[in-house]
Amino acid sequence: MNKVTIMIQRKDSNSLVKKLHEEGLLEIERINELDISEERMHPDVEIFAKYELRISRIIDILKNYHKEKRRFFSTDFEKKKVKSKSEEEKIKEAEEILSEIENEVLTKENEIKYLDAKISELEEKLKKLEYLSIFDIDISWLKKTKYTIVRCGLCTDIEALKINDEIYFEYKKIGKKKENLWVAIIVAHSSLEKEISQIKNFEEIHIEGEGRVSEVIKKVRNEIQEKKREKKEIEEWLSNLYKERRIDLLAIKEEMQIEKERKEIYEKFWKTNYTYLIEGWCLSENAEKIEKIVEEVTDGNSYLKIEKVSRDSEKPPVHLKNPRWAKTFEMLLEFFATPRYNEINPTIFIGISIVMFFSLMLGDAGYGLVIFLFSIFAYIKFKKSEAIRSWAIVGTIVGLGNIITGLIFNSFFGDFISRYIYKDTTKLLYSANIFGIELPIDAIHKPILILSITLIIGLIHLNLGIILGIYQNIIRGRKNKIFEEHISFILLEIGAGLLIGERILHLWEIEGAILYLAIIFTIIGLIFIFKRKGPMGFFDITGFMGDWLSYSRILALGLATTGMAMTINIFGEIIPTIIPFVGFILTPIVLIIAHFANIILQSLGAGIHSLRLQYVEFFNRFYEGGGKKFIPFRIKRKYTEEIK
Amino acid sequence: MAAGEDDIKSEIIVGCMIAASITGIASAIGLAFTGVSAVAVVAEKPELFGKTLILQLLPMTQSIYGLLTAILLMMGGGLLAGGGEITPLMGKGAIFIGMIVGFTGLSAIMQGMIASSAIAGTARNPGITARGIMYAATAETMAIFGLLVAILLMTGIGFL
Repeated sequence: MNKVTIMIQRKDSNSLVKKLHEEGLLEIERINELDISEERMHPDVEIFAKYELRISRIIDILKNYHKEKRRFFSTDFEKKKVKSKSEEEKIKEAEEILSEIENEVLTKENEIKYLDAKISELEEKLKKLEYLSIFDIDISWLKKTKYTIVRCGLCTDIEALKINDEIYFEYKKIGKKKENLWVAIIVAHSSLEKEISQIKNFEEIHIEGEGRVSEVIKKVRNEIQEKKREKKEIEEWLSNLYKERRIDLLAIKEEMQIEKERKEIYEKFWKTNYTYLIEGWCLSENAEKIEKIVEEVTDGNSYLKIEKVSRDSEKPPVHLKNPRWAKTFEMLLEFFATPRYNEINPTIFIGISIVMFFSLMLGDAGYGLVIFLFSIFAYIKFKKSEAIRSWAIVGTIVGLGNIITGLIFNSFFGDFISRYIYKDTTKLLYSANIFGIELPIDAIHKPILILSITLIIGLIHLNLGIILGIYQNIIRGRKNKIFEEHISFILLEIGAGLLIGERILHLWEIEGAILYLAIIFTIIGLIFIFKRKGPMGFFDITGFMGDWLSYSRILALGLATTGMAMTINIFGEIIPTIIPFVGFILTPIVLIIAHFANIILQSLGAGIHSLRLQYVEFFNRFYEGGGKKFIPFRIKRKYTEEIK
Repeated sequence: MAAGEDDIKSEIIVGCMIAASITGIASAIGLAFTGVSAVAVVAEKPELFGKTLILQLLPMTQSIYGLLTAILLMMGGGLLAGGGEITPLMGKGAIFIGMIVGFTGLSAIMQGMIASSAIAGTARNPGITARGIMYAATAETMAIFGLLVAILLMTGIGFL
């Protein structure tokens, strides 16, 4: 990583910022140590922000009325080809598109709001009319005339209506069984208005208009239908407009965002009366390109300093460089933490070991085949999506890994082949002798052998961590720590390993020089560990043992997959005996569903525990993390593609 | 001899019962913890269904270990198709193997508590799901070791 300092004249700033934004080579950083004033945000930011806001509002409204089919993976992004334009031209374009549709869209949206209000008003009226329909009177009767008063309403206590013999009323129950609710109609002489208004538990229904209730209901219903139809028409119009202008709107919105971002960057500059000072970071291989850009844009009237940052510095941002296949695993590293600038990039090691651990933990050729085929399918079908494509590559590698481990450990959908095809569960998948090793290894009947393999793999993995730790301390210039932190463990592993193997496990016999060497290695190892940590060094040793034994989970999870697959097969086999006639049809269905569920569950477990072995056991030896990712000042385009 | 064999077989059944039932109860409790949180989160943010479902399912693995142990015991003890000769040690052993897997399987309850917190955390910040899964996975280690001991013992005693 190189540190870049550029001083330019203000007049050149616009064109330089534009060029840097297009090329995306420089991460611009605000440095707080200088004794000069900080530039404020460019005044044009507001202009572009306002356009972005107006366009976003129109897009949101239109999107609301456009019912798109939801696709599980939407990978086909339509891109608009745009020509390189000046700021003024972009503003003009935004203005044009907004003048064409903004007012109309807002008016149509208001119309929809008005229609919504009208529909709910009519529906409310309809509800009241439906109460009245029990009596089928003329609505115009419901008023006070010179001699009479007619009221209609909802009543929860019929007794309350019996206040005066001269008040005549009629009612009908509308509440459910135990609910007290009636529709009542009251007729009385107009002089009794006061008494009527004092009736308790009576809620009057106000309706204006004339005509018999049944006719009015019909009319209101028609009116509602009419309004709904009008609303639908407008919605369709908006939906069609969105379909037609979607890409134009999204493209111009993106252009506004790009311009806004370009203006916002001024905030990170330092200014004098006539100059700007820009500081940032670039990749070493891009230093020359930046030099050339600055030279060209400013015509040589600038000051530029690019200096290489030393490897032991912690300040610069971090850019991970990995081969294509390992790119996907960067995400898994960043889940934990981005490495510091002076730290090793362990992505490749993570990639290799995750594939290996996952293959051993799932360890079934049939399941591997399913993952492999699904990944190939996903790769072909969704190759436009970067994310799906890179995961499909991982899936393909992992699938192949599983096919290999499954064939080595005699598992193809558990014991499917031997149970259903060979009809003899003791028979192995195949029989081969490669370099004197009998294959396949019957994993479920020889777990000790598999345990030994997993522990050897664990030891290699842990020691790889130790070696990376040594390398890290060398590049950080902390060579004095290497012996205490790392080599002490290697000595202890060799010395104590030899002694334990002989004295406790009786695996081998050692004597003479090797025995003395083993004792010396053990003692030196112990001395350095206790010297560094004091009595707490004891826990360092037990911790190391714990980390090592933790790799035995590979065996447990591997056997769990095979065992569950076997259980599913046994279950499939006994279905026809439990269910007499249709049992044999059910067997394949049950097998497919259950094996599929097992693949998902066991893959989840294998994935999680593979990662755990990286994060806890492996990283413990060398990795700290806590770096800042290199994010260059670069144009991000999703809906547009610039053509020259 | 037949009666003796039946005694051994009933002991193996007890072993199966302990392994499957304790881990089953533990997983169910763990799943209840996570399920309650997941429903609460999804009620407000239905788009988090996928993420919360993965966290919700985590405590289920222990019951799979229990089921697996039970099946292996049944197979080795001649309670399912096949199986070799059975010895009195296999009967007693099956009970203890069942207990090892059952008791370590209780970790599903604690795993459920951690995963439940992770679900609540996911509701506030969906970016932390992967870390939440890692925290919850640590509690499962004990069950994995239990299963490992059980498998090694089964091999030693003659079940496998």
